[in-house]
Amino acid sequence: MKKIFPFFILCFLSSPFLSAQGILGGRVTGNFQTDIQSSRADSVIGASKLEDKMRINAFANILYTQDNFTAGFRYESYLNPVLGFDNEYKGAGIPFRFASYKKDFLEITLGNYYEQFGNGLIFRSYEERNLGLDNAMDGIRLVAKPYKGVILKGLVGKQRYYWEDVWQNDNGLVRGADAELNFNELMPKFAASDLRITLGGSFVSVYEKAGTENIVQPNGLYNDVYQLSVPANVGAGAFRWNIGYKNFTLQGEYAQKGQDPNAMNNYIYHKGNALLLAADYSIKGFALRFEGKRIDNMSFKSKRNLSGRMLNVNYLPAITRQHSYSLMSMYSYATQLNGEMGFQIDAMYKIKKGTLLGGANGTDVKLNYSYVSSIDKTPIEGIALNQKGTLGYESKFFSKGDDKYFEEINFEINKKFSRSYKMNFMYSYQEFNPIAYGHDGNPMIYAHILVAEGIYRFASRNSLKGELQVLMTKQDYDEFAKGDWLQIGAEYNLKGRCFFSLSDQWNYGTEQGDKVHYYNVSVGYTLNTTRVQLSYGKQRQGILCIGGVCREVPASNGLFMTITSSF
Amino acid sequence: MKTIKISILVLAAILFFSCDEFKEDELITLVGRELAQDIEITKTQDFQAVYLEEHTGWGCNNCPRAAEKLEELSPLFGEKLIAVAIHAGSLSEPNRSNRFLDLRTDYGNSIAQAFGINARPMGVINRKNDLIQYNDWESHLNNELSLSQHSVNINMGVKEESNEILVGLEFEFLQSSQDNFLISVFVVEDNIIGIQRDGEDKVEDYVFNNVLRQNPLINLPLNTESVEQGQTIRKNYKIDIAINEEGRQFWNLSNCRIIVLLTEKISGKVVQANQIKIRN
Repeated sequence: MKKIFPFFILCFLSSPFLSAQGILGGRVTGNFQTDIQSSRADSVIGASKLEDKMRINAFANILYTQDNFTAGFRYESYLNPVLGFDNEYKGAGIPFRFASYKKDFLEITLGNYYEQFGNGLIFRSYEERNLGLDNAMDGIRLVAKPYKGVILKGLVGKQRYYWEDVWQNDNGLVRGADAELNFNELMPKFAASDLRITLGGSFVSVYEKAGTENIVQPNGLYNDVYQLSVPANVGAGAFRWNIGYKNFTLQGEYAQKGQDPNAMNNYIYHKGNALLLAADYSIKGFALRFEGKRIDNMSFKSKRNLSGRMLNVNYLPAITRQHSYSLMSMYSYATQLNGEMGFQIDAMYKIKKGTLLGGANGTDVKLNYSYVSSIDKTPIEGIALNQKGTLGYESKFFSKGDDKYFEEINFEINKKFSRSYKMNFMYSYQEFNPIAYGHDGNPMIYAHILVAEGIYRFASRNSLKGELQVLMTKQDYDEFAKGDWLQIGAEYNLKGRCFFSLSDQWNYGTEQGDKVHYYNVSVGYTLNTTRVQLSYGKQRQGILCIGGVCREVPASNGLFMTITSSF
Repeated sequence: MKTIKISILVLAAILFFSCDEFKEDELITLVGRELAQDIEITKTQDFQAVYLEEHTGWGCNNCPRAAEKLEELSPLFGEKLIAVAIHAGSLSEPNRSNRFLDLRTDYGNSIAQAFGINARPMGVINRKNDLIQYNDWESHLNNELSLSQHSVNINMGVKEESNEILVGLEFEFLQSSQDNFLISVFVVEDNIIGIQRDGEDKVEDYVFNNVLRQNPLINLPLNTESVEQGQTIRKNYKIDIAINEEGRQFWNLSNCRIIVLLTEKISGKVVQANQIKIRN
């Protein structure tokens, strides 16, 4: 990568095309962020002392745009990575650089790029900085729009793996194609139709040298050593639809993956599949959404012997509510790639102004229910369930398994009492199976969570926010389930430029009693596009989940500063 | 519309060609049998060896020169050099001209194919990708030995039973490693008399040495977790002796040696090798 980049820049600067067009006529934009952390030892919360005193993550994106041409790069440094980020990120460099131009109906990207086919069930290349996830592709991408309503995509490349030179490592090569047809745009006579139809299909194939994978089975006086027939090419295809009629929309995607014995599925040959469904109905003041999902053996990586979060070719979204309040999200659900099925219902109703419950400004009421369980897995006759080197199991598509992974019912009331004062109330009941984080055998967690938040805006455009959160559960074992919690917080904001906040998370329902306080003090200042935020306090050990993908966050006690800027 | 049709055809072609699939009875193949009993270790190792695969064939005019080079190198490197002659490709096909002596093996063919051996004689050292002409073997062997880290010893023992050879192996790690390793064990035979082309001539009583034989044990797992410095791992295997149509042993065991290779699972490169005579 380091060798390629200077070459790339040289080509870029010496390009006759650019010389002809005048490189100085373009526009340069960019953004920058740095996170700086220090932490000291705290035996009460389990924080360890940072031997290197201070850790710094930073990145900057620089983009050059002129007409239909764009080029850019991202510099990253992890010196050393802040707590919770993989240590493999340690170092600095330019992991992302690209050049792209649009000509006629074609857009061509060379170098690194992100892309997603449909919902991502078979392909999604993306970056989620808070999770330390980046599976940027390095290769070539073509996007063609030959007719209005037709989008064709084709790509080839390898995925980022920390700082490794992707062209020197043995990770798999990803090839993919996608087509999407919007019939209302394609056929002018349907342009104004109440019926809206979009169909799409995609295919992705990963080539990785077959390599050697063995299993050893006892056989009397011997251990028989078998070699697995490893497919060098693993393919996956998907079909999606989005059909709408007036206020009703039905969308979904079905994906199937070929034989893919890998470390995540214990090297079984069971074919994977995934179904994602969503139905929406909305009228003024009311919206209803139903989502259903079934996943069976859909971990799809570009390196078959890798477990963990890196090198995922696809993305399987969560269909449970993504909470922003910290105690609400303490037991966030993580998508089970090897098999899960569930559904979610989301309803929103706005109580009209001038009614008893609506008051002068109306009231928003939201109700959400979600349920996720394991899928049916029946052993194949004569073979143990999920036995390495076999077809693994049989699964009835519409039958769920015995394990409940997650269930939640929550409702939320947003009430604006006046122009200057509004409140948000929320209640959630969650049943959470720790198996979702790999804590197999731990008891189910049953939690009641309450949140009340109020914001008062002063005439001077300053505001004061108060927040109260309570989590109640009888489960109190090891570091994973820690009984009852209470969180109190207040934030004073000066005209959106400056803020000061205080908060305390109190883990009062444990054997340690009232000793475990996670206090935090923050101050922030924003000027135009630059923002500086400084926090001091304790961070509890926990798990951060975004979109069903999670990472562990270790406990810390100290300073945290974030600086962001853009131009 | 033509573009759409072409795109759909391309997609269909990708769907058809980009996926490997195995039937239920093809998922796994028996490649070896570990013995429950420990075979006594009789030969220990305390040096880093280097492994040379000599790609040759009876119809290859220049191959005797490579064999001579190997004989010349043997005393220079001593027991550090472990060489195997792989007879594969069209120049090894048996016919009336060589009295149908077939020294090819499936394993040898697959190695030659994997390394893209199109010309013979040719050498491959430690299963790295470089193809090396015989005149350069000495410098490359020296270079390889100087670069290799002596991280593991392979101690060996062998026991002969009716139509089986029992092999005991002890892997003694001198350095910790996160890698997974694979073991290959096979038989080579010396002093096989046959016909060999040599320049313009045909040598009737040519002596083939280091000839790779059938029934190898290929890429058997050593470890699935990291190994620590000072750790030893025992493995014991059985190799079936090749039997001819009359039920007689096909190999002359007095001329046979067992070769063992330890390779990195991911790269396939040889990290250590050793050999032991079946009969002293």
